[in-house]
Amino acid sequence: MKHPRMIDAMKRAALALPLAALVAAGPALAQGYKVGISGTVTGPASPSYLPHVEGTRLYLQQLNDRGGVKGHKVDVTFLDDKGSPSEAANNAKRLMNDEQVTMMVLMSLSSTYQPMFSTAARTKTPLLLAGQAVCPADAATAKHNPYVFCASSTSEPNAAALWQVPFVKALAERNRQPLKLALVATDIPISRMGVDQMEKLAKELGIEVVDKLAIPPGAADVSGAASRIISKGANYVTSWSPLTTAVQVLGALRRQGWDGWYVHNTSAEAEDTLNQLKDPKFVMSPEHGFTVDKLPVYDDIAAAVKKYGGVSSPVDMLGAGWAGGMAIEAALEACGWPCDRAKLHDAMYKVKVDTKGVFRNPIGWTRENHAHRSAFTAYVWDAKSQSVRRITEWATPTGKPVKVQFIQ
Amino acid sequence: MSLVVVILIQASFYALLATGYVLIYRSTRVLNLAHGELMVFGAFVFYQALTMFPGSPATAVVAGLLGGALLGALVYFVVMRPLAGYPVAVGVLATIALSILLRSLITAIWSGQTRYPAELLGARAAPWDLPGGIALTPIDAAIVAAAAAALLGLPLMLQRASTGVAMRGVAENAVLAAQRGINIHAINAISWGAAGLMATLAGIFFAVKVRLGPDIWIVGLAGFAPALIGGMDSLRGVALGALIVATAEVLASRYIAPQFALAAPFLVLLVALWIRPWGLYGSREELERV
Repeated sequence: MKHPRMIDAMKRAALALPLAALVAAGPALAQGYKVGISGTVTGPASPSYLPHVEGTRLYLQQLNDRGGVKGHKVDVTFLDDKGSPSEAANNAKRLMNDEQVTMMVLMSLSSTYQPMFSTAARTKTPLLLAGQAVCPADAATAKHNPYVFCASSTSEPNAAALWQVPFVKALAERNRQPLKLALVATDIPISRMGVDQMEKLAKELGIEVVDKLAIPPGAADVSGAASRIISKGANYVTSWSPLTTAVQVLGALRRQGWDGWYVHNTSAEAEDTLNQLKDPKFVMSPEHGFTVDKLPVYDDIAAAVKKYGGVSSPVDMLGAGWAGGMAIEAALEACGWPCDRAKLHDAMYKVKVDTKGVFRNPIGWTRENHAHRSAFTAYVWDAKSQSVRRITEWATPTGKPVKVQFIQ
Repeated sequence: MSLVVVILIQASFYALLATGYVLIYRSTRVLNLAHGELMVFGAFVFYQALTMFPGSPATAVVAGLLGGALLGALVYFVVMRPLAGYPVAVGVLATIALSILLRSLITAIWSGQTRYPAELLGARAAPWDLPGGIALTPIDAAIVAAAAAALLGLPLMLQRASTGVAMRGVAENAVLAAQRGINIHAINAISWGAAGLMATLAGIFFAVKVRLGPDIWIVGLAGFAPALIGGMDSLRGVALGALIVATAEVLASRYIAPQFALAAPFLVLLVALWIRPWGLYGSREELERV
């Protein structure tokens, strides 16, 4: 008899194919809305982005099963950019020239933005940043690219800092501890930018920042960095980076006997990681609701996983991608039929998407502001109940540090 | 004092990785650029076995090591053996192709999801508080012990065991060894298998200590600099190479900035190559042959 785990592994191997099958099936769904999605499906960064691509694919599958939008199917082309700017440039070219899509969706690293953004501007095609793609820092300013719209779970660095820094301060106050903070980034531009912003705000709030460091991606061992943090006397560490950096630094700190609190920003893998690590002082500070909140939307996602399969990620990782699918549907709905790029661009400003709790605030944009109005909260592993627990109310930064409210 | 322990642990991990590079280079003169993928594959076999037999971590470790060793031997028979007689560069290019293939295979089988085997093992124990402000976890102690065993045991095996002597013979002169009746392909397969086993051992340690995912193949490259510094054909050089690299990394990270941690060993490598291009314990002859 085959062991269930082995069957599971075999299933995964078999189910890796549907994405490719969907790509191949694209042209068969003629006379539909044409949408092109470029995402990091393979490559080192794929663990953080593949779940979102899968979530969006599931949503669009069930949308097409429901009859599509205004009676027309959504004809989706999925392309893998492997997290590489050159692949993203090729994808942008293919989506414009060969597929002639009306809308582009990007779920990838910030290093892939430039070719996609410039193609969107040149061809006047709306581009939706979905999943975990970080919203550009200028999205809420007059300088934003008029064709780029944020519907992702990672807000621009300024908004994130306005939540995360006051949260760390409030957490230390709640714990009645003096706060000596170390800031950790991954050595990539967007992460360093986020941590720089946090440092600036921390100083404004009178927080003692004892160290700021950037960990090279792919570092085999970060014990030296951990030893440095300990030597500076930090009792709280916070990072705005890919999750892999946070987990590696936290592990190295714990192995050297550090007993402080570690607060990390959002990630598709956040809930799963808390469940696996079971560290009661490791706080995830996401922009999406976890399954522990018993949101009915996760039941819908679970049902779609059961019905369509082809998903390698757990349900708790699929929410942001699913919400991206909702935003695509809403935009196409607002565009009507027939829909072209110019009409869709105008329609984007009519969109207001209730993501049913995946994101706290609805997704919607104005001509001046293309950012997603993010809300934040915090979750931690609760040793007493042996489960993940939300510890704060949701908070929406509005240009100034938020007031953090803990759940009693 | 605690910094010394940090360096020692890191050096031990690098030594485990570097040993695999050296074993393969000694036998087939190939720089195996798929070493990281061998590491990940074996670690995933370990994880798979761990989920199948949760009460028996020893079984999982044995399964992982066996999986890594078998894959190493298989790579020799399927990929390397047909390339015998071609320039060494062809073999190196083949390992690049192999690395991409293995990466895709691993993702297809186990998905991109990150796993934390430590929780299944119950191995995320609090560190022991030792005198001198030293914190040491059981897994770190195991890494140091494994590296010490490998660095003492492997040279001993090469000196005393008949297979070890045959491995040395093949490494020194394959044609002569074949004329003496040594099955050079079997011996090379054993070298590749042993390298797969060492890679897996490092992979299991990394998975338990940090995390497991298809993207950790890049960690396997960390064994490259110690092997080069020590001498690509010298197991003796591995210990010193690993110690130098770990010291450079930890000190750069601690006293300059973590960004320099990756660059520091290669700076040391450049200096070492300038002084002794064949490595600290490598043989000059091997360099000329390459």
